Amino acid sequence: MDITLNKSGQLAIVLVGGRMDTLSAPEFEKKMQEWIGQGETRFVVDFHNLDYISSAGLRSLMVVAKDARARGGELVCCALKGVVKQVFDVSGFSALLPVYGSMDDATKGG
Amino acid sequence: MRAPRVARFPAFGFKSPSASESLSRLRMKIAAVHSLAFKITLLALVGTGTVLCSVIAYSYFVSKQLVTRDAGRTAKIHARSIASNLDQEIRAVVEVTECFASALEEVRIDRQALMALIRRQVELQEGIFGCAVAFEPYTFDPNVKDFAPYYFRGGKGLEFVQLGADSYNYPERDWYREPVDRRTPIWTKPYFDKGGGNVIMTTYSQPFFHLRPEGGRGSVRGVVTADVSVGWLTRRLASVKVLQTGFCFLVSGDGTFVAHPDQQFIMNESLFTLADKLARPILGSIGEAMLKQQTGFIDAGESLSREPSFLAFARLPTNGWSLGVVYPKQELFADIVGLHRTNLLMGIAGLLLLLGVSLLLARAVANPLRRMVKATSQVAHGDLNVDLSSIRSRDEVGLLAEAFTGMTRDLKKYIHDLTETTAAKERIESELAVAARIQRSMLPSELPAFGDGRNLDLFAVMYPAKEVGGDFYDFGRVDEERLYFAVGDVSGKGVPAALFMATSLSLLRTAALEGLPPDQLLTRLNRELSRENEACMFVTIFCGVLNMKTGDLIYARGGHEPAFILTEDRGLVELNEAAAPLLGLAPDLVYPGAHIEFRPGDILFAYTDGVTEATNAGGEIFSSGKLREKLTHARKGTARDLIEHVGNEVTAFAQEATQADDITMLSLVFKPGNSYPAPTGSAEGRQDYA
Repeated sequence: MDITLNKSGQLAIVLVGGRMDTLSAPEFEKKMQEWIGQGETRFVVDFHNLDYISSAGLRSLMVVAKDARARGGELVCCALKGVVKQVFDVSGFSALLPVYGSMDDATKGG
Repeated sequence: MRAPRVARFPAFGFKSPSASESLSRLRMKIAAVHSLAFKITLLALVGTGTVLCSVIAYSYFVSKQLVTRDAGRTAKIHARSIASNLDQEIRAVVEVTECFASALEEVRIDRQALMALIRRQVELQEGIFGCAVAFEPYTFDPNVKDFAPYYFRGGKGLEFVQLGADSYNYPERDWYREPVDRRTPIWTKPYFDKGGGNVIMTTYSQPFFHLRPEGGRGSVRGVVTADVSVGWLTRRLASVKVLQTGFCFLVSGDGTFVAHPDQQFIMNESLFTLADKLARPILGSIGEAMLKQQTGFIDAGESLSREPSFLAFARLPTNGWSLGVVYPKQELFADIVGLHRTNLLMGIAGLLLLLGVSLLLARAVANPLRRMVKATSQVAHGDLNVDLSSIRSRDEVGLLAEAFTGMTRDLKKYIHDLTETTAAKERIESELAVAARIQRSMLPSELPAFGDGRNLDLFAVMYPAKEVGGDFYDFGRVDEERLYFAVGDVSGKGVPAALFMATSLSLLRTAALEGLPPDQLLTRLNRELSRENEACMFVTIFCGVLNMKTGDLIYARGGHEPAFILTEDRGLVELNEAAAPLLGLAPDLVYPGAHIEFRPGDILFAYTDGVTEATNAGGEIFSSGKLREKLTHARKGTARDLIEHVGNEVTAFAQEATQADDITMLSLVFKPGNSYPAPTGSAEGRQDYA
């Protein structure tokens, strides 16, 4: 999977692409932890390039969100589509993490 | 259940097809090493031998030429010196005779004085065999016709013969007739002086004359002769030493042998008659050269003696004879032949020494190689305990041996490590297999009977993607009327997921069998799981409680796909009410529940996302749309029929693609009737899932 970080003021915009599954989730978790370690706490994860997310991916998101919260920050998700959106909906993950329709909504909300 | 996957470590060794074959190959290799030593030795010997032989041959050829040239020069000088010595003797004979003749012209002496003078001539001159003064008839004494006193060296000292006796008749002899007729001195051809000296001799005859009063010479008075014995000449020449077996010979002016070690030749043969007789034309050319040239040096081949030889010759100016000196080539070249024989012997000795050294060298190279060939074969047969420490050389072979030892050491370590790793891996795998068995045994396999005469058919399967997964199903009797069932999916896979699944399942089952309705079940489970959940593990669950008396089905779902009910009259009904998030992350959530009427003949189908997210090789997922379609068109049969139908569809869709996620399905058929069916449940059978 592809993970890239873009700074936008206080916000760390994380663009994810490809598949976030059992194999790639640990990589996502590790990179995010590194960025948290570097002082980033306010994350907007952009999902519009992500094709698939498994339960392992959801777990990693939750772990990272929890860490961010523990440091007074937050993790929000935006631009979900297709299977990823279905998974969020079915699992009720949308109720556990702030989810926005688009990047604009997310940054305004943030 | 899956057979434990145990990696088998192949027995180390590159066993050749058969032991005997590899042995023969080894022998061939050693033979090749032999031939390496052989080759090195042969190459060294052939190279050095060739050089040595060329040098010796060249030196032999050149020195032979030099020796021949020098020998020619020396031999000519030698021949000339012998000839000159001989000529001096003969010259002396001539001079003495001339002197005597001259005196006889000037002075008239009586018989007695003449005799004394003749006697003196012979006595004083060693080269003179005999001396005679022969007068023309009636000249010395008018009363005596023939008068020729002759002294010669006989067997008993000096002997005297009067040649004037009738028996001898000297006036007819060549030695007398010729000088008288020609009025000049002559040398006769050699002849046997029968009645005179009785030996083979040659005679110098000097005529002497009446002196005219007015001056000048008148008629011939007589002849003074001096004989030279051929025997004496031969003895003289025999005393000249020519190498070991070389010899001298003398030919007269027409090529006739005058002196020769072989007495038979003397007077009987000439060079020319021998050339004809022995069919050796070279003798003819030798003869011509000897009679025409003053001196010369000729390769005579085998014409003059039995051995190949050179001939040097020189003329005797006094009488026109020619002296030949025969040098056997073998003796002439004896020194260089000896020298080169020594050279050759030394060369051979050197080559033998070289052979020894080469063999030692070749063995020094070949032995370690042979040892390494053996070691390699040993390693090939799996024995890594090779010892090459005896190879101590610091050359390339030594380095090779060192590298080889290093390689076997590394191999040993590698094999040791690999064995340990493999053992550890096998242990972990077998433990995982046990864990999987334990996990699967937690899933219920038998449905308890309900005693109210209702017909119940339940079937469930769980196909794990790995040894231990996170999916589960559960069912059980709450009381006489109520049946509880659930399907769940724990986040992630492997041992953490299995542990979390075990916790979730036990908590869920305990609460369910206490009689809690689904909504309260999930609320309580969520609270329990969310406590101390640092790893953020979670579980999605669909669970329901069916009252078999009333057909009332209560369900709740935490982050899970809705189940379906296949009905006769309402089509495919999706149980999509009561949506709530997954369990384990937010402790304070309150899970809602929903009611639906489950009529006899209806079929319930609950599943985990392993079904809808089954992926084929093209990356497409099975999808909930396709599941819905398959369920809509499924034949209404037993619970097992439906699960097998969906399972087959998923298998057909995924084909060879690896199963990424656990697949769990549960089906429940509720039929009105009076008999109790044998309720079934299964945690077995991966069937044909890849």
